[in-house]
Amino acid sequence: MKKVLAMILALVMIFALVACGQQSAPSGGSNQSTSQAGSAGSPKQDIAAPAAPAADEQTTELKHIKMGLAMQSLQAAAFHAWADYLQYRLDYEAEQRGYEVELIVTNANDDVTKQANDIRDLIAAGCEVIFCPCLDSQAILKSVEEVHDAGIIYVSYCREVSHDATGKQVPDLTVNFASEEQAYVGMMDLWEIMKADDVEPVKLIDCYGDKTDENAHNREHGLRRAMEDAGYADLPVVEVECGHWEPDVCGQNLAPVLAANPDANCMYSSSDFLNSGIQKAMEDAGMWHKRGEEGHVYFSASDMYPLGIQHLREGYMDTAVDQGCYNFAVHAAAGAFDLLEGKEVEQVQLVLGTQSTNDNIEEILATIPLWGNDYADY
Amino acid sequence: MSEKLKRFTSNNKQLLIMLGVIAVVFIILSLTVPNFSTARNLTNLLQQIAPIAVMACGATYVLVIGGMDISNPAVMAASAVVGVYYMTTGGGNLVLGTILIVLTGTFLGLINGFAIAKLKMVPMVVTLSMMTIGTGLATILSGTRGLPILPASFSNVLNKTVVIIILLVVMIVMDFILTGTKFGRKLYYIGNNARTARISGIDSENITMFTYAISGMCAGIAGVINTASIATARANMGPQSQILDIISAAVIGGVSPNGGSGRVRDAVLGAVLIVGLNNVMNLLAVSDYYTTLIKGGIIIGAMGLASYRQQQAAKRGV
Repeated sequence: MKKVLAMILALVMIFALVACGQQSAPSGGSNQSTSQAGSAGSPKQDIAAPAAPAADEQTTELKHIKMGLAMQSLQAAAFHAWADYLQYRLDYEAEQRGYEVELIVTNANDDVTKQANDIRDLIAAGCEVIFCPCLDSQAILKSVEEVHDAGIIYVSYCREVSHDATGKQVPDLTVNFASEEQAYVGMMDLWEIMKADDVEPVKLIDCYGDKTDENAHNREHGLRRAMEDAGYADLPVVEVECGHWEPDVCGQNLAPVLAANPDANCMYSSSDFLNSGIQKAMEDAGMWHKRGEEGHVYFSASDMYPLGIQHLREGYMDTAVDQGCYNFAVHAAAGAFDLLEGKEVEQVQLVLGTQSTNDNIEEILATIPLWGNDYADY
Repeated sequence: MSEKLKRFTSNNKQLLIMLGVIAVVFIILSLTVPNFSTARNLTNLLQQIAPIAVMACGATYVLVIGGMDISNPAVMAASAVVGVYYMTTGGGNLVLGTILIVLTGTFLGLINGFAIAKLKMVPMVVTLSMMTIGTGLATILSGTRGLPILPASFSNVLNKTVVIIILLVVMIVMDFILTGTKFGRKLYYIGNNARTARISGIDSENITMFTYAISGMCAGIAGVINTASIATARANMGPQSQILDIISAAVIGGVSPNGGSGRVRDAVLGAVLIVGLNNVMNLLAVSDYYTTLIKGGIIIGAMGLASYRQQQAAKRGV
């Protein structure tokens, strides 16, 4: 009896595996982003969609190709956008070039060891290209080396590997945020708005997203450069650590900082993904006011998550630069196929998203399909 | 001959069930999943199984005495970070650093054991606290930018083959100690009835303390394996959810969550099933959401089966 039960359990497992495998076979891509084809949600960095289809679908046999996407997490709306847009653009590129692409997506669930293991699985699965938003820019270096040892193309997608990378540790292609520019442009806009409102910066609160992520470091550089260029190099800055992009940690750490620095009148956050924690802490401190209200803290952030867009529209946030998620996928998919076909590509491609302020957000929303709008329900 | 076979079958029922299930699953997957039975994938799989399986070995000892240790992943990460911190920041020797990883795990396990055995604290509370201490320690030592990468020689020496050998050695030695030595038998006595064991003159306090230290040591060994896998150590290399994989590997392998029964080798086979599931899902391109659902279903199913078997055994008065 016991043996029979054990066998039933095993068979259920096998059937489940096989059934789910069939369910998740690529089906032409998630079409969340269909409306963005050709405009890419970033007028500044948009690249035109390729022209007329080249392959004759009736007569040409499509070359099947397997690719892998080793996601670091699927906990945030942007991460879904990265994966969905990539699937969409890979399908698009494949159609143009006479391929049929299968994308395997794994999820490391914020576990640095699992991401390394997932990449090993993708190598074993026979992927010819592996895209990876690395969880840890240094710990990923060994994986990049393993990918290259297996003769596979590595695309660092939406994240950069550490600048310490050498030889086989250097990705074949990096498609990432122009993250330093994101912060720089957003902060320069903020200074302009403060100047227009006749407000002099007294003290700045800096919510540092993640100290193990190159994008957070780059944004920090952008912030510092904007301070220098605007003549605020000596402006006192109070730093708030936000764990690994954790809104609750950010809020918890921000609360005592606000209590100790009630005179702070401007703020930068590495990402408005942290805004739920920031809002809570500022509300508790009585510092959450719209622009034009007394006590408003001038606030710039990067990414334009749905909540960030909402805060920008309501006037709690003053400036932001979005991620340009769709453009990441456009560049990464085209670059990957170019590399597969032996063409040369620019090894590091940085994408700057749409620049927005509280003054022009409505106009932007009416004309540009931002990723944060596509994923507003997340 | 047939009497011998009968006795062997009766003594190794769990092993035969596990091997049967694994064999059936393996054959079907080899036939249906592309790239499953390649040498690269199978060695990958064993490398991925190793840290969970080694921690499941330690968990088996703790479960056998009727205890519970949920601090394993955090202790693993903390030990690895301490060792890598010494090897990189302190300019320390790689061999000594590796030993330090194992010793740190053992020490943290010993603290668990002391609190549980000597101070009579509740195992769940103690190991939950150790989990936060381990994570905190790892985060502090990792620093804001993370620890540097180890020299390539570290991962080259601790390559896939060596990792698999470590797993086999740990499994064989720990299974032998549990089933073939006086110390091991005492663990079963304690797990079956701690009070009776104490009255019979078994030093259950020290044995319990030592058992948690062994569990910590296993976490340390897993830390060495994971460090070799990414050539550095991070606080987030042992997510708290991993404890579910560890405990379920042991329980699927027939280790009783109530103490008194189970074997290390069967827990390792349980780990093969649990970790193998992730690998197969990745090869099949199954969405992570389905993976967690199926994994949860299998764990509940296996736990239910274990509970059913226990009830049947209790009815028979075994």
